[in-house]
Amino acid sequence: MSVTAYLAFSQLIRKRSRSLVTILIIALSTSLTTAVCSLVASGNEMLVQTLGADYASYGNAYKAMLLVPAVIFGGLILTMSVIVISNVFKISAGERLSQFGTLKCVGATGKQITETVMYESIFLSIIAIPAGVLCGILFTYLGAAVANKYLDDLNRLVNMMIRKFTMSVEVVIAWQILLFSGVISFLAVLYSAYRPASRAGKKAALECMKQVEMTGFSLTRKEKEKSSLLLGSIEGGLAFTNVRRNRHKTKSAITVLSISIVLFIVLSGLQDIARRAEEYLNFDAKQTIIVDYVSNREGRVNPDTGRREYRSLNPITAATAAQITEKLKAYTDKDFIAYGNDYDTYFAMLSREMLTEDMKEALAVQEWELADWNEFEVEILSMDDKTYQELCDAAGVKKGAVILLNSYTYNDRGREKRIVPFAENMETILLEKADGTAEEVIIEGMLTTEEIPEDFFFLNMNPIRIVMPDVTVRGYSWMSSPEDEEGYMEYAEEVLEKYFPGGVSDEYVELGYSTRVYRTDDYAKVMNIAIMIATVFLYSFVIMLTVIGMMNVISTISANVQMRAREFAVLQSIGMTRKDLEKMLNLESLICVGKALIYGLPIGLILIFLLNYTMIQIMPIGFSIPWLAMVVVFLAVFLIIWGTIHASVRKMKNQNIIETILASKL
Amino acid sequence: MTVLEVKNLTKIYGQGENAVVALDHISFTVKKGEFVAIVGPSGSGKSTMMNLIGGIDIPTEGSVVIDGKDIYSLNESQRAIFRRRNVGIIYQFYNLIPNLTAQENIMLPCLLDHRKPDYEKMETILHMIGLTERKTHLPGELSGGQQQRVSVGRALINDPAFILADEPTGNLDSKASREIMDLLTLANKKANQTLIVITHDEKIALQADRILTISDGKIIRDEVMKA
Repeated sequence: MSVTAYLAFSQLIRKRSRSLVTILIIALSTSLTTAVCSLVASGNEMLVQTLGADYASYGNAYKAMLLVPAVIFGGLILTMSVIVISNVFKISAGERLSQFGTLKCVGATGKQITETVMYESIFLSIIAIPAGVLCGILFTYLGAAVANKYLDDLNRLVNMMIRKFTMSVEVVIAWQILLFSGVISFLAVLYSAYRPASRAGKKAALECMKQVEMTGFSLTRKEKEKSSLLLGSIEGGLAFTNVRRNRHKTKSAITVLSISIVLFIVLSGLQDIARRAEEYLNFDAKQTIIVDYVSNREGRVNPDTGRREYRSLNPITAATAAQITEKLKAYTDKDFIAYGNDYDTYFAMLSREMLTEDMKEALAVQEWELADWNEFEVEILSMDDKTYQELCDAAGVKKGAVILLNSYTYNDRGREKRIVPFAENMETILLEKADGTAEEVIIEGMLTTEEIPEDFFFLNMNPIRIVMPDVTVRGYSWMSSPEDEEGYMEYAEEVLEKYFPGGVSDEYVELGYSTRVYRTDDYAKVMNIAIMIATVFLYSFVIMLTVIGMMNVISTISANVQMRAREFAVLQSIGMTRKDLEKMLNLESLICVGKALIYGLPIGLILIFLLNYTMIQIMPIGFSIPWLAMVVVFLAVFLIIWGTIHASVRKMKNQNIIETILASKL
Repeated sequence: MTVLEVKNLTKIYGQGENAVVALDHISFTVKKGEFVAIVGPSGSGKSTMMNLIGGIDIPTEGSVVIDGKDIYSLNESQRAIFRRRNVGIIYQFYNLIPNLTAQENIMLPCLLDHRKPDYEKMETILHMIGLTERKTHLPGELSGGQQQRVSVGRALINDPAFILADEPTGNLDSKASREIMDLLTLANKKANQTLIVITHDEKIALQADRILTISDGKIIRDEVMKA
């Protein structure tokens, strides 16, 4: 072993606890890289098995779903690792300065000094990287097991709601992935060690002997002109001065704390966005079971008009719907409501005068350029007799009348707004088809927002919704709240099977229709599971990354405190009490927390705002500041810094002032 | 008037067979305005005595009375407060706070005592130690002699009962040593500042009013040089 390698080795042995922490940091970073790479490979395998070799028609979207997070996570891991490992080597090289000075005095070249620091990184990597790869494999299996646990539930629900669907993660561990993770991690370690190593190599022998610190500092003109010692109490002034003038020593700790704060704020914000999106999308109906039928449709461009037109292959007639309604109601009529709709066939041109001011504003929000005549899609609604009768009564018209549901809900810059869209004097409407034909319908009744029963608000997809009697529609839903849910679901499936044989099977493409019987909260459950999977993985990742960061914070702060042992002893020797010293250190902790928060919080909040801004373009979910996460982050960061400083100072409690001063005659 | 009274001061390190007697029942007094040099070979107990007089170590036996107050009857915090008000300490290796400027280091004992800084006095001290131009420099930007002058300034700022200097010139060249001793003797003569200096340097010892010689933890000689 060369002398430079031997010196590196002896430094690692001498500073065992720090070597161990560094090994843990490198191993954790390698394991995360390995886990991310292996999970991407496993996710790829899952999608190939579920969707086919090229991920079917949404190939690029799925590839992006896998690769974009992988690149972001990989980037975060490498950034955090480089900051943290680089700082560890900086501290180590700083401690060995006098040794470097002696070596230079007896003829060591700068290259040899650089070499000895680099050897440290190589020795640590030899142990840490294989251990990290093994841990990474373990994390991958663990991650896949957790994902599969949730995916089982997801498969069960999707099977009930849609059709046969099986998705499961099978772990893919390829030697290429392991080699790639190992090499990437090793390069990150070498890169992290090289900067402090080369700085140490370039330092003059005398500077090393005098232990001039790796990063010197000087005061700014402002600092020279005005002493910050006079700010408030002397303890506060000293704390402020210490943090300010030792900023180069705490820079990496503050940086990783800020990154961790950003990650936690963004994560909690994402969770909040997901929760609000879930609340918005949640099928908020009092009914517990939905039985539905939907016909497949085919689309084409009409050769005569050039418009896109759709044709339902197996539409459901009012008579068939009524028969099914009767059969289902025979089992239960609790909260029963049945409706069918068709939003593919008709559109209507409405003049500017037919729109209310509220509707004009709604269209402006949606960046719709208002013209003299404006085209709207039309939704035709059909419903069971009882419900239809209720609507007729509410509108004050006789059964058989056409009723316009004059209410529209839209996303008003993140907030849900419900308005009356059309003028109350609208008497007729011309329903046009893509083939150029049209029919004029007389609107006999009109219901506004206040008059429409709550049950109908979830249907609100289009501005123009017309309830018509005896129409054939594309799909139909029957909703109710039976006492015996399981029995009803079985019964409903039998009823549907009689009218639409094989509707629940996988042959819906061939049959041209499909039927389903499911619980109204199943959608919420699916979303919950999807959010849960994402939350578990994201939090695990962020926690692991934060652990790497916190190891750095703890080792940096405790090393700084140890290096300041003499300073504390001098302060005590000239009359600072132990209480004042602790007060000064508490204030230093608070200032460090403040610094980390000053950088981390605004960045985190801006990112959350941007993510939220993107989401509110799609759905009205509003925006809320994650106060709880901010408080938790503040307390966590304070506890980490305060705890580390005080634990380090406690270690020095029994040290004699004079011995401490004499032990470091600088 | 007696400023310092040391009675039966004893310090024993270790226990049983490993016990080392660093100071062995030492007693002496120092009068206000006196310049006392303490000399003796390495390991004789000079620095131990200085640390005990300064209240930064605990004696095994005996007492140290400064201005009528037994400092070891005080608890640690009270002793720290007493120290910053009554004792000015100068170390061989300066022991300045590296991230504070020269003037901030000088002001420190005054600020630690929660007193408003007396800028006029600080300027006088800066002028006296010849560092007016370099008052905003950090210790790392000053030479060894300049750092020790800052240390002298720090010891003087609170008008202490006496100044304790442990080998104040031990780390300096002859010119810087002379400058530091000139400063200390100036404070002694002009301001009637009591001065206790531990030194190896015979020339320095000879400038004192009185020389205490310590050997094996005992005062073996107490010579009055100047009446």
